[in-house]
Amino acid sequence: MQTDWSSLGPAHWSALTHKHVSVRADNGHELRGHVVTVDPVSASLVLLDSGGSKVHVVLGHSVKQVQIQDQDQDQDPEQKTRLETLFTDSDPAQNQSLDLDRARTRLLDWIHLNRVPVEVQGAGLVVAGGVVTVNPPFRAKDCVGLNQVVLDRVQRLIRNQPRDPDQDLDQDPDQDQPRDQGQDQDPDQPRDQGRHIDQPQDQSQP
Amino acid sequence: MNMMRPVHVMRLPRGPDPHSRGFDPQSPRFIALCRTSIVSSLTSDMDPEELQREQVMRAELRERFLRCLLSMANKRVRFNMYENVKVEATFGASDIDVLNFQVTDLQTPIGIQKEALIRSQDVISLSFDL
Repeated sequence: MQTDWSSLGPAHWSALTHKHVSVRADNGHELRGHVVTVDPVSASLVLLDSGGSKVHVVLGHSVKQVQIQDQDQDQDPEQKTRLETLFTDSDPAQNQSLDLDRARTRLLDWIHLNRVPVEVQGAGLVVAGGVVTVNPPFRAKDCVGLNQVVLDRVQRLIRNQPRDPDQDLDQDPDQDQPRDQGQDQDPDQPRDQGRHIDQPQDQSQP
Repeated sequence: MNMMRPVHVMRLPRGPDPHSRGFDPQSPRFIALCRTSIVSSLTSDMDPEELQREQVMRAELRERFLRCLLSMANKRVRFNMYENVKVEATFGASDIDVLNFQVTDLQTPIGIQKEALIRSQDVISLSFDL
C-alpha cells in the first residue's frame, strides 16, 4: 500500500505506533514486531520483537512495505505501557521531600561557592538567570537547558559535589568516585624500598 | 641501505563546524544527503492548529527514537547491511540526521576495527538485545 514510506508523514507514522506490523526491507527479509516509534528525520522504524527482548531498527531508506498484522485485535494496555516506557529512565524516584529540600539547599550552596549565579525556583533550581534548570532529585541527568556549555558546567559541578557526610547515601552512578582512592602511599618514599632482596646468593658457587 | 620507513597517516573525516550547533541545513552534506524539506502533510491551506498537532506528534516520535538510541549506547549491536553483510559492533552514537553511526570494536571478516564510522545508507537494519 505504501509506495514511499519516507514521505508518509508523522500523522501516519504516529498512527502505526504500538501496532503489530510486518516490515519488508530491501534485502527481502521480513521483520515482525510491535512498533515503538518511527523517527521523523530518517523514517527509521523501531520494532520490539514479539518475545519482548530484542529491538530491531529498520532504516527508513530500506523500508519497502509495512503491513499491519492483527488489525482487529485490541491493544493490550500492558503491552502499550511497556512500549511507551521501554527506553525511559527506570530509576526509582526519591520522593521524600525532606531529602529533596536538603539536597536542594546543599546543591545551592555548592553552586554559590563556585561563583555561579543560582536561585530557587519552584521545586528546583535555576542557574544563570534561567539558562539551566535543575529539577529534583538534583542528579547530573536532571539538568535541563539549551546552552550546552552552561549545561556541561552545571553537570560537572553536580558530579564534583562533595558527598553528604550526614546522610547514608546509596551509590549514585552519576557521582564520580573520589580520585585518589589508590594512592595512599607517601609519594616521597621510593616505592621499591627494600624490594631487591632476592639477589641470587649463590653466584660464586661452582 | 638506508630504507625510509613508511609512516602511517590517518586522516579522519572533517568534523562538524565548531561554531554551529552541529545541525546546519545549508551545509553541503545535509543538502546532498537529506531531504531539502521536512516531510509533512503540509498544504498551503492547512490551519495552524493542525500544523501544531503534527509538530507535537513529530516531537513525540523523535523523542522516543532518541531514547532508543541512548539505550543502545555501549551495547553490542548487529548491523544487517547490503550484499548480505552482517557485522557486529559496540554502538557508540549516531549523528543528528541519522547518516552515520559511530561504533567501536567492529568485527569484520578481516579483523576487528577498533573505531569505525558506518554510513547509514549502507545499513538495512540493526538489532540489539534489551
